[in-house]
This record gives sequence, C-alpha cells and structure tokens, in this order.
Amino acid sequence: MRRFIILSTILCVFGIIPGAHAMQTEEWSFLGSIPGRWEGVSFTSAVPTKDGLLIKTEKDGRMFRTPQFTFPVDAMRFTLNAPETFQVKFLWNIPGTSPEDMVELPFYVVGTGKEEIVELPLANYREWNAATQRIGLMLPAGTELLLKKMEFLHWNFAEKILYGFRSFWMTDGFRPYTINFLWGPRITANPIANAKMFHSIPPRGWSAFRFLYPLLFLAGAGIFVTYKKNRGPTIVRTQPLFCFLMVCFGLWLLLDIRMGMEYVGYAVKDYETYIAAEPGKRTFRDRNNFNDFVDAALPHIRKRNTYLFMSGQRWPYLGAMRYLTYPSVPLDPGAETDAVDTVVVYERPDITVNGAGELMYLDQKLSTPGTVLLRFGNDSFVFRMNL
Amino acid sequence: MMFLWLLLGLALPTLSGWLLLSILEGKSPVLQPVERVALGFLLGTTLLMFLSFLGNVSLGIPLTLLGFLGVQTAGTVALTLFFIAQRKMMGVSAPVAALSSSPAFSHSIKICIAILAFWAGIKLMAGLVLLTGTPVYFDDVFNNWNKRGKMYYVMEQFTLGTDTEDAASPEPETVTEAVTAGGVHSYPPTVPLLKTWLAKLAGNWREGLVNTPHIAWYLCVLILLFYALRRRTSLLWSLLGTFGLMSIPLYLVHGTNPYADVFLSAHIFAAVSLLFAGVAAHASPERNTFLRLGAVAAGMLVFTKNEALVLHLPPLLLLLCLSMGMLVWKKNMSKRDALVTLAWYAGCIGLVLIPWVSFKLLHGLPFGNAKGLPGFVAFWQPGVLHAIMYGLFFEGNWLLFFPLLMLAIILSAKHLRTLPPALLPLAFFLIIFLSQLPIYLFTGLATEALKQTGYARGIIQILPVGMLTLTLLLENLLQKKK
Repeated sequence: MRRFIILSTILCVFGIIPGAHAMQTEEWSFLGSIPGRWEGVSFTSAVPTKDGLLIKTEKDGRMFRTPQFTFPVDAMRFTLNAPETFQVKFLWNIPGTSPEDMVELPFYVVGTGKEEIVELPLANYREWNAATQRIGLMLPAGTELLLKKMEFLHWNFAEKILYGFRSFWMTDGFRPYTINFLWGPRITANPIANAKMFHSIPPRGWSAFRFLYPLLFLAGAGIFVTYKKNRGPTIVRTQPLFCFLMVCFGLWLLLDIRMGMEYVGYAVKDYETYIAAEPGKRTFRDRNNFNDFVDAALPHIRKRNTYLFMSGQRWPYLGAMRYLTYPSVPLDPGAETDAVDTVVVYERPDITVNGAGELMYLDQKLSTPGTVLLRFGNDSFVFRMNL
Repeated sequence: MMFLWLLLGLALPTLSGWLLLSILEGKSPVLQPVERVALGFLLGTTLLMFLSFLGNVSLGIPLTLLGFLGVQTAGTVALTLFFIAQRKMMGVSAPVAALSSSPAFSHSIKICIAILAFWAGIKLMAGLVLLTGTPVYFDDVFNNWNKRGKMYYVMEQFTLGTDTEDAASPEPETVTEAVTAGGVHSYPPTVPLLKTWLAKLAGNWREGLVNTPHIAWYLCVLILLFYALRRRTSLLWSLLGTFGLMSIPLYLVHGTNPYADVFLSAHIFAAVSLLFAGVAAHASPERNTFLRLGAVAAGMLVFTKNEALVLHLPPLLLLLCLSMGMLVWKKNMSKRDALVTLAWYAGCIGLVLIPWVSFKLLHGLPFGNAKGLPGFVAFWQPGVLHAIMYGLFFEGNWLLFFPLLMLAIILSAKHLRTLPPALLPLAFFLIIFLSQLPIYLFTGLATEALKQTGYARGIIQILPVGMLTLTLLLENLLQKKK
C-alpha cells in the first residue's frame, strides 16, 4: 500500500504533467481587432489591421488596459513585428497605489523585420503583483511596431515543481565573473523563467541552497528524533551522526554533479565554438571574433613599436591587445599619436574610410590618406597612413 | 608536443626539489615517494625561479634559454653533489615509515571510488581543454601573470616595466588597468618566470604551454592533501578529503585558469601541513625532519605572492612558536631541538626574504596586494556581511564546505582537548579567514566583497588547509561516536 501511494505521488508530480503546455493562458489577439478597452497616450497612430495593431510614435507613447485575470499570471509573451531595435517598457500598477504610479519592466525588441516573440518571466520579479488592475506598454519616440498578440500564462503547482526541478540543472556560461564566483543552481518555476535564468545579473530565481538547507535540517531532525526515540532503522539508532553525514555527502555529490556539468559545459562550448572551429569563423565567449581578428591583424602590427587601437569598448580589448601584440604597444585614441602610422579598428561602425582613403569618425576626418591593409567583417579593419 | 616541453621544462626544477627534500630528510625520510616528487616540483620550481631572478638582478645572467639552463643546471648539480656526499657520509637511510594500513574496501565501495574517479577525470580533462586550448580571457592573466612572463621573454631580463610601455600606456581607466601600470611588478615573479622558461625552452610564446603549470600546481596540491590526510587517517578518508577539494567548483576554476591563487594555496598548504605533521609526529627524528621541510616550504612561501608575506607567514610563525612552546612545555621536545627548528625557519625564510625585500625596498615596490586600501577608513560597510554570507552559503562556489565546517567545529567543541593535531590547521584557517573579514567589513575594500571580485580569492588560498581540517574533524567525530 505504502509503495502504491509513493508511486502514485511520483506519477502525479512528474508523470502525467503535460510537459510544455501552460495550465492556464489568457490570450489577447490584435489580429483585425483590439481586445478590450485600451487607453492610448501620445501615440501618433495605432491602427488595427488584419496582421495586428500597427503603432507609430513621434514622441514617447503609452497604452493602458484594465486586466481581469482569472489566475495569478506567472509570465507573459508578446508576438510582434518591428523593423528596428528599441526598448519597450511593460508597466503595471500595484494595487493600493495611485493609478499613475506604474512599475516599469524594460525589455528589448530586436527588430528583425520578421515575427518576433518576447517572453517576460513576471513571477521572477519581486515587484510583480498578479492582482494588478492596470497594465500597459511604454514605447519610445520614433517607434514602429506591429503588435500581434499578448499572452498571459500561469502554471499549476505540479508543473512548477517540475520546472523547479529542471531549473536546478540549468547552467551558466563561462563569463568574466566566473573566476570570482559561480552563481550555482537556481530555482525558477516556469519554462520562460528557466530559459532566461542567467540572462541577467544577478540571475533570477532563488538559490537552490534555500531549499537544500531546510532539507538538510529536516533530515537532521528526523535522524535525531529517531535516535532519541530509539525506533526505526538500526543504523540510524546506533550511528546518527554517520547517517546525517551520509545525507550531507549525498547532497554534496548532487551539487558536485550539477556544478561539474556546468564546468564540463564550459569546455564543450569552447571546444565547439573556438578550438574545433575553423580559423576566421571562431568565436570565443563574450569576446566573439576578437581573437581571430587579432590573429589576422598581427602580421600588420608586429613590426610597429606602437599603433593606435580603437574599439567599441575599452575593456577588455585594450588590455588584451597590450598582451597579445606585445612588444607592439596599442595606444588609446587619447594618447600622443603623432608618430603612429597604423590604426587598428575593432567593431567600430562609426569609424570608416572615405573615398579619398582618409580615416573618418562619422563626418570628421581623422587622418591623412592611407590604405586598408585588412578588412575583418563590416566594422573591423587595419589601416595604414601614407606618411 | 606541448606536454613534452612541459615535462622537459619541469624536469630540472622537480629534480632539484626532490634532491633538496631528500637532503633535508637525511637519515629519517618521512615523505612517500609520490609525495616527494609533488613537493619537489612545487618547492623546486619556486627555488629555481628565485635563483634565476637573483642571477639576473645581481649577476646579470640573462633570461635566455642558456641563462635559465645555466642557473638550473648549476643548482641541480650543486644539490646532486651535496646529495651524493651526504649519502656517502651517512650510508643508507632508514626506510620511509609505512602508512597505516586500511581495511580492504568492499566491492561496492570500490565501484563508488571508480565512478567518482572517472567523474573527477572528466572534469580534469575539461580543465585541461580550457587551460591549454583557449586564448587569454581574464584581466589578471593578460594584465599580469602572462603579461609579465611575455615581457621577460621578449626583453630577456627581469623588468619592472619598460619606458616604451609606460610612456605609451594611456591613463588607467579601471583599477585593473592601474594594476598593470605598476602594482603587479611588486609581486614575486615566480609564476611569470616559469612561463618565460617554458617559452624559451619551446622557442616561442605558446599560450597553451605557458598555462600548463597551473594544472600541475592543482594536481600537486591534491597529492599533498592526500598524503597529509593519509598520515593521520585511513585510505578512505584520505580519498574522501581529496575528492572533496577536487569537487569545490571555484577551486577547480582557479586550478585550471592561469591565476596564481592555487599556486599560492599549494605553498601555504605545504608549509602548514608539514608544520602540522612535525607537531603531530611521535618520534623526535621524524618530527625534526618534518619541521626542516616545513621551514623550507615557509621560506619558499615568501616568493609566491605579496599576501603570503604579510598575511600568511605571520600566523604560521605564531603557530610555530606556540607549538614549539607547547611541545617543550609538555616535554615532547627538547629546548635544543625547538631552538634548532626556530633557527631553521629563521634561516630559510631569511634566505629568501632578505634579498627579495631588499630588492623591493630598493625599487620602492609596495608590500600589499595589487589593490591598496583606498583612503584608509574604518567604519561599518553596509551590505558587505550579507554579500559575504551569500557568497559562502548560497552560491555554487564552495558546495557545502562552510556549513559542514561550521557544524564540525561546533560538534568538536567539547572534544577540543583531545584534538590537538587538528587544532593547528584549524587555527591557521580561522586566523586567516577571520582576519580577512574586518578588512572587507570596515574598509574601502568593501567593494571587493560587494562585487565579489576579491574576497573568494583569499579563501581559495587557504581552502586546502580548510579541507584538511574538515576531513580530520569529521573523521575524529565519527571515531568518537563509535
């Protein structure tokens, strides 16, 4: 009988849950009509079309609606289409505060010109209040957006446990902070939150240790009670500390497997994207193709004592260049650069070479005419002035 | 090919270290063969890099292949001659004391050990891939450890930065860049010099090759921990403790990246564990040998990182003096032996400390860590305690190490009087751990803890000592309960 109950519980929790489907969904479709009563502020135009609500703004615009959710919303999903990248803010009012006081959750629309889905794990934000009576969107000036659909999602308790279990095994990538700390396992309770777990710093969700310590405490208490009452398995009655340490060892192993998987994952990713990839197509963590660029640029730099280095971000590229091209020393654009004839430009779309062969920063001339010795992608190149 | 250069490059330093240890052990060897090789590699490398540094700055011996080879060969030949002479004079030395026998493992335990070893092997392989197959990534690597090695490689001499480099360098924008502008030159150059030597041997600067010593230091500390435990506990507990250290995620990350904190931790562990072994030894010759070895390890500690001199050496010496006093007071050691031991420590530390500190004073190099205390203030820094606690207990850095250590200390409190051997590493760990707390809680270095950029490194450095302590405490607790 006991075995049957345990088996049934396991089946209920993990077995018969429909894996990918949310238990409850509320969908607001903008295809051909506008769902509910929306209040628009400062929009230049908001026209319902068969493909969705076409919104254009000349200045910052907002739209609000009173929702009547029949369930606590855990996450939401936008289906939209936009030609350019811009930042949108999802707004909500906390019940009991002035209707004008809105919490803002910014997110980016990539703007590929194709249908795009943006998902927000609302339950991950402490400020989110599922009982809100006013939600909205804030769009910046100059926006063009085709809003197709908004969906609000809720998962039931069993699903949350399942996704919580899965989230334990979600791992972070190799980042600049990895040498200082590792976030470790985190717990989130829905698939959208799981997928976005390590997209922010700090990652969303609870530390798994919040669950492991109570578990450890309960195990310790159980062993202590068994020992004191002198009932239960012999080993617990005679060697309670040993039993407790075995529980600790089990949890240690569990954490070791989780963290070890993350660590091995670093190596696998680096192997696939850098070590085994073809030179010229290699990418390395958040540095993208920087190392390939340096390899290609080195023959043009090697014989120069100094050269000018211009990159989108100074960190970490300047320091890395100082090491990788040593003894050739990169100069920052702010330094004295009169004796320099070589300019290395990495990922600077605003630095170009004009028709006369001069280096340009937007419309400003930076150099005498010269030659592009190496072009690497659209925005990186090595330039030498004809001195 | 890379590993061939590595083996060749480490051969002379390891041989020198092995000879030095064998000479010091004399008639009463105490180290197990594998342990002697690991400790020989650790101390021999630091010793020969120290001699290369001295040879360059005092005699002008260049940091070329021939220069390095000359110094290393001279050192090794001198040690070999001394070793041969000593063996002729003293005859055959006593065999190394056998380690305590352990009950044979059951079939299921053997399977468990095999699975855990396989898992550890996979992680090590991943580490090797990351260490040798990827380009530089972290600031301290391209601003300091590898950068200085490359500078010595190009200039073929010890340098505190060149005129070209300094003049050309833009104003530092970040603390890390400021570090490059001068602070790191105050660090002892052991790690960069070893990289230079390997690159000179191979004939060019290869990223993978110059990074390989870091995993060797990592393996070295695992071997040393295993044998330090093995002297006090069963084979199973020794394996458990070693596996425990191996499974600490942040320690693995440091062990397989070109950072120097695992390198420092290996030296700290050697110094503390040898002192511990000496204090815990039952027979006088054995004790004196361990303490002589400990003295050499303490001397080499000076030439690792700045914090070793100002943070780790003082508590080590304090514990040495207290231990000697206690042993003499309990009549377990003669006053003469205690004084000889203190003289060994003073001599070994002095031999490294005097030239190195003189050099630092002569060139106005600071003694602190790369980052000084920004405008010394001493008031409570809000948020730091929470950040530290979160990092210790709620992140993936240390698994369950700190909760278990706390539990072990609390449960062991009533047995402390019967635990004298484990007290020494415990005291060392707690002194360092607790003395770091006020630095972050009350000074401008609080940002290091808040941003989690520096605090964990202090723990990495003493983690092997911590793992030794934890394993001994847990084993002792279970023995008491039986």
